[in-house]
Amino acid sequence: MSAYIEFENVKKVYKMGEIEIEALAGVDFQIQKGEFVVIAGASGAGKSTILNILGGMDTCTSGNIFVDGAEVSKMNARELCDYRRLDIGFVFQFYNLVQNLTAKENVELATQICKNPLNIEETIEAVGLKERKNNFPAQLSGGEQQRVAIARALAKNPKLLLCDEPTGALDYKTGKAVLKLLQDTCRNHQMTVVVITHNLALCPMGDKVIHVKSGRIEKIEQNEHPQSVESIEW
Amino acid sequence: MGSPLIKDTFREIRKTRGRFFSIFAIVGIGVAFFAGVLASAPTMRYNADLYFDEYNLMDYRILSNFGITEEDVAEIRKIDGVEGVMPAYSTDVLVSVGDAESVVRIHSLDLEHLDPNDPQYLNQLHVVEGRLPEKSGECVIEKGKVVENSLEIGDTIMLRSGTDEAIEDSFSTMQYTVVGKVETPYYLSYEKGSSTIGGGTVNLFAYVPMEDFDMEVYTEVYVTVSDAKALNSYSDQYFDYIEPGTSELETLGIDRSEIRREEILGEAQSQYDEGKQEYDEALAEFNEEIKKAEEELEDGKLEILSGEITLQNNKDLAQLQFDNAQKEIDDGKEQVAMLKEQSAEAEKAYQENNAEAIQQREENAAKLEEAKVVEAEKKKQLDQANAELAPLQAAANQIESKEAENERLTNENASLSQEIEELKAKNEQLEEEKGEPDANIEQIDAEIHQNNLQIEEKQNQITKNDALIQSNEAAIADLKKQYPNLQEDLELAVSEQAQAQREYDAAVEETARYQSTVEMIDRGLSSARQILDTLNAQIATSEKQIAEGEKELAEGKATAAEEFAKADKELAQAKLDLENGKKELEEKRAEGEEQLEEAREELVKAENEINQIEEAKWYVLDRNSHYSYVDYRGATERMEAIAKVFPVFFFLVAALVCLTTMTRMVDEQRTQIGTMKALGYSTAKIAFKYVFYAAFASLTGSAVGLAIGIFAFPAIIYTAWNMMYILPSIRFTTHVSLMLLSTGVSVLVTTLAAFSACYKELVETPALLMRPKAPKIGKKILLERITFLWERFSFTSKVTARNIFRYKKRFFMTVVGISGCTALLIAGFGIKDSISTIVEMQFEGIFQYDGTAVLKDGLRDDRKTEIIDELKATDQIDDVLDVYSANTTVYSDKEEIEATLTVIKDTERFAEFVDLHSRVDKTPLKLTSSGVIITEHMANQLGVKSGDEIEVVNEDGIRKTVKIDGIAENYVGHYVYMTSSGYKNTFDLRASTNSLLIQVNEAYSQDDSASAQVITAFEEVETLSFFTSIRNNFRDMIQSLDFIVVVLIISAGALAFVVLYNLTNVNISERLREIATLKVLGFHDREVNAYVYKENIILTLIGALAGIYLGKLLHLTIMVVVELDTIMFGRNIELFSYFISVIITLLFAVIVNQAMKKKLKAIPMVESLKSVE
Repeated sequence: MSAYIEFENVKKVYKMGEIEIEALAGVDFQIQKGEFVVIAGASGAGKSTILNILGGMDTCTSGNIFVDGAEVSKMNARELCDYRRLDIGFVFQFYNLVQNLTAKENVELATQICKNPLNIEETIEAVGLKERKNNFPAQLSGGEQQRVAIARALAKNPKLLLCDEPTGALDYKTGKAVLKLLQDTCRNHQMTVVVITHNLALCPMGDKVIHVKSGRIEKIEQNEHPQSVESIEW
Repeated sequence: MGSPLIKDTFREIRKTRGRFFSIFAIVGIGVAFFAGVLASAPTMRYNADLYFDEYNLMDYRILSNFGITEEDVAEIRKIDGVEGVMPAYSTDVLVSVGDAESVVRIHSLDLEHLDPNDPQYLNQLHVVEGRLPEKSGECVIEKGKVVENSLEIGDTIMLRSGTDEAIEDSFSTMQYTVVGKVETPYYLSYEKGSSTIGGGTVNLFAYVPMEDFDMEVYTEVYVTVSDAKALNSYSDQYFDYIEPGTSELETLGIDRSEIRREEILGEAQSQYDEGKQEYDEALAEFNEEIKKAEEELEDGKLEILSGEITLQNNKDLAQLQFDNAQKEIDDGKEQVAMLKEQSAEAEKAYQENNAEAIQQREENAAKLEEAKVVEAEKKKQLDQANAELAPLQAAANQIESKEAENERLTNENASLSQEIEELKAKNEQLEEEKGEPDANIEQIDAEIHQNNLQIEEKQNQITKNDALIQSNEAAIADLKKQYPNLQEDLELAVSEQAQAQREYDAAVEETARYQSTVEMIDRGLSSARQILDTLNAQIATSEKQIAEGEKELAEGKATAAEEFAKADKELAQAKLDLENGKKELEEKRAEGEEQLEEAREELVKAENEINQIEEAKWYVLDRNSHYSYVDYRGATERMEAIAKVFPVFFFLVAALVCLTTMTRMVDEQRTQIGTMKALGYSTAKIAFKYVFYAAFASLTGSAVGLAIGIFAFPAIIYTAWNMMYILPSIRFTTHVSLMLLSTGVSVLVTTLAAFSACYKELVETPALLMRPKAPKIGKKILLERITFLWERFSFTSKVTARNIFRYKKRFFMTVVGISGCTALLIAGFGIKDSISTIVEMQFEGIFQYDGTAVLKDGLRDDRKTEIIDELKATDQIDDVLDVYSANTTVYSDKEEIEATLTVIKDTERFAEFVDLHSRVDKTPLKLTSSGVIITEHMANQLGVKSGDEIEVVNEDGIRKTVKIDGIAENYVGHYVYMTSSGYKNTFDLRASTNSLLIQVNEAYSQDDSASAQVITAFEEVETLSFFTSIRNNFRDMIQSLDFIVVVLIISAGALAFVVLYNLTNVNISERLREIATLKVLGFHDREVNAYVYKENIILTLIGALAGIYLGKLLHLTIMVVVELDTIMFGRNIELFSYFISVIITLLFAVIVNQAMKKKLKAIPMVESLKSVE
């Protein structure tokens, strides 16, 4: 139980009528506090399912999941809701900002519902959007929107930052900047960050890289010297 | 149009059931309303015409002011195309029903023609209870609707005339038994038109056998036209069809009435001339009588004058007599004074002369006293001598008497002894006799024994006497021892006594002598005194005589004064009588003038009548002049007016719902549209899907809406109108064109909306369409400028605030829909408020009195005052005011209206009974002496305003123009108010008061019967009506309005539901991603709900607020449109109704929100991970 996050033989089976599809066929891994973890795999490998279950959006069929000592796999809907609310920060591929709220207000959206939010202004400044905080999402570029999304996730002061293909909708340069932000956040704030991606090029930047394939863990790599984002090319 | 497209469309419908339902439902509701409400008026007309046809309602009613004769009827029958001809009588009478007087219109019923198939039986009766009359003295009455009468089958009614004419002039039977209750198409409404008698409106109709009428001519003839039933009598074709008959009848009328007029005119003219002559005669007589009376008064004046002179003379004479008497008295007094002087002198002389005599008398009197003393002394001595003599004398006497006794005793003893000897001798003889043979020894022994007893007794007596003699001798010896010298002593005492006797006698003689002297002197004095007394007596007598004289004089004066006073009084009385006579003359003169004036007015009226005869003709009235027919047509027209308001509104909402729904749908399918376009489908084919979608939804919606609406609404509305009209239950008719129209319009509106929604997208290039649509840019709204407020907003509030202003279509759809919902509710509750408050406003706010009593004609003013005062004095009645009230017709340029004319004597007092004020600003209205105040509803119908001129016809048919001073708030009935001076100025006739407005004491206001008794106790009261029954009728009517409110609530609810459902549906589908994201972010269900529903609630609130104004407008429109002819509904809506309407609207919103919660909960979080489409 030393690990901060632990998956023990986690299985997930979807029933589509008569057919049963095993999305996860027994997954085990551990993540330490403050680690920058990359979960990589091809489409349909099961990485999104891991994300859903780890993020409290879905439940596993069997197995145990622990996050900071709490057994997430045993939580009911209400508890999961609070878990998402207080412990998880999400960064979506398509940012998922509320179009009708300004950048600052989108961050407030998250801080309004959690217990120990960070200072909004500082958080926005930290993601480099001080000048644009009163703009609506439609007035921001994709990278800027993703920064707002990261600020929104960070401002909640979560235990875990879950990022689903954070660069998927971004161009190379912007994607790099976003990843840099995530990496810096991890390093500077000792934030546990889990990035899910199909882009294997990102693997070297993680402290730990979990490769998923067909609902199983293919391998887990531990990088003793993770590379800085700047040095990675794809 | 390939099949994949159709298939795709139907799959789309299955997939988006909620969306489809929104369009389907709103179209359904809209069409149901539109078609249903629009079909109502034709259905009403259809049913009414059916009723008319089934009961053979007349096509014409022919009237003439001279009546219709048998010959007229025969002429009418001859006209081509005339089918049924039914001559009839009808007249208005008064009947007591319960406490109230009712005006009853009596119609004749021809008992010969009662077969429903008989074409000659027009305006047939439908028997609801009981049966039709079968013989004279039976009647049927109306069943009644709004105003239930209290008459039951078996009751009897008594007809009374409401005019000057006797009831016997019109009827041969006055009392009728109610045998049935009927309905007839001749009377559809509870308003049966106006009457010239009683309260001015017909309260009840009744049919009696024709034979019970006793009139010279028919009052009317009903006529039907052959084959006219085939046409709906509310159509123009009907009137075109009967038109030839109208002109033929009118032509006939001109001829027939001319003949009749000649007769009547001659008669009327002669009557007028007669009246004129009578008036002239009466005037001459009046003048003569006044003259005579004046002469009499002059005579009286002269009499008084002569009386005054006589009285003065008498007074002078009496004064003279009194003066004489006074002089006599004065003389007498002088004489007395003289006598008194004499008397004084005589008294003085008497005193001087008698002094000596008195002195002598005094001396003699003294001597007399002395002599009396001596005499007493001598008397004493004499007594003493007598006393000394007495014991001596007594002793001597005693001795003498004892000696005499002894002598007597001795003699007695001697005689006794002799007797004893005799007895002893007798005994010896008897002893001898004893020896004789025949001796009775026994008897002889008894005799001897007897004799022996006597001897013994006599010897005892001798012994006793001897004892007495001895005691007497002892006493004598004793006395001789006591007075040894008795004889000498006795002689001495006798001589002394004789001496004393002599002395005493001498003293007595002396006394007598003095006595006589004194008496002599006294006699002398007494005679002198007597003379003096005589003088004094004379004085007294004279004085007494004078006193008497004075008394007599005083009495004489008093009597005279009294008599003069009496005479004065009589004279004053005579003067007073003269004054009274003068006054009486004035009164008589005034009265006479009054009567003459009345007679003159009669002549004015009669002249007017004759003038009217000139204008006389037949009135050929078709159904357009039939009250019930026209009244009901009015109702259908009002219904049509309402029908125009609602559907427009529903179609507007339907268009908005369709537009928002389709816009959202097209937005969602942007990529698909782009793909189709890229694949080479034409714009029309792509648009087809959406247009078809909308058309299909609206077609099915229309079908369902029609199926429900075309039956439900006419049924509800027909039934609602039947609260006021008496018609058989509903029969449906088809409305093909209406159905096509409503379906067509709804399809057109929705497809147009659908097309316009996708047109914008369709014109874009496929490439652009393939890319996700740039989200609608969030915009700063005005509210954000208020920073301090904005900063306090939670993010949901901020989102909501921005969303509301971002989607204008949705905003309008929701606001229009919800405001419509609120408006319907407000209108519904408002209708109830407005009608229910009429009672209060009319009978408490405006009419401050409780009822009206109509007085009999021709009452004198002083009698009226008496009645009023007596009524006021009772407990039950608080106050009474008399006014003149009559039926009138008011004409403006376009319209004419029957109304009640009220002429006010005392405007200030009248203000305590009727509060005349304008409705809007509540300012009191003032009457001038030339204008009138009319009531608001009438002014609206006449189309006139304050300051305009109208024409008013008075009771006698005189028509004059007057100016309107003001328009007064009023709800029930039409009234024209004018002052009595105004009436006089206008008609040149005086308005004599004929009605009493009555204020009942609060304590008796619950029960009319107590106050009714008090009022009807006056036989001068002809009719009495309280407002209580009207109030109760209104209350019943208001209750039946409840279901209209229910219908409106249901409609409102349906509207609110569809609109809010659609809004939520669209919002949710558009914000699926946002909602999923929020869920991922850990928002609780409650918070997610709030995020969506805040918008609903705020839009609902805005809609409800807008609805308040809209509702007010809708309510006003409805109220104006549905108003009855004589009743103006209120325009007011209670605050509570606004409140409850808003609350119910919000409640609908809450219900929709609750229903949609499930849908929100079902949104999966994974949606947030999907890419933007």
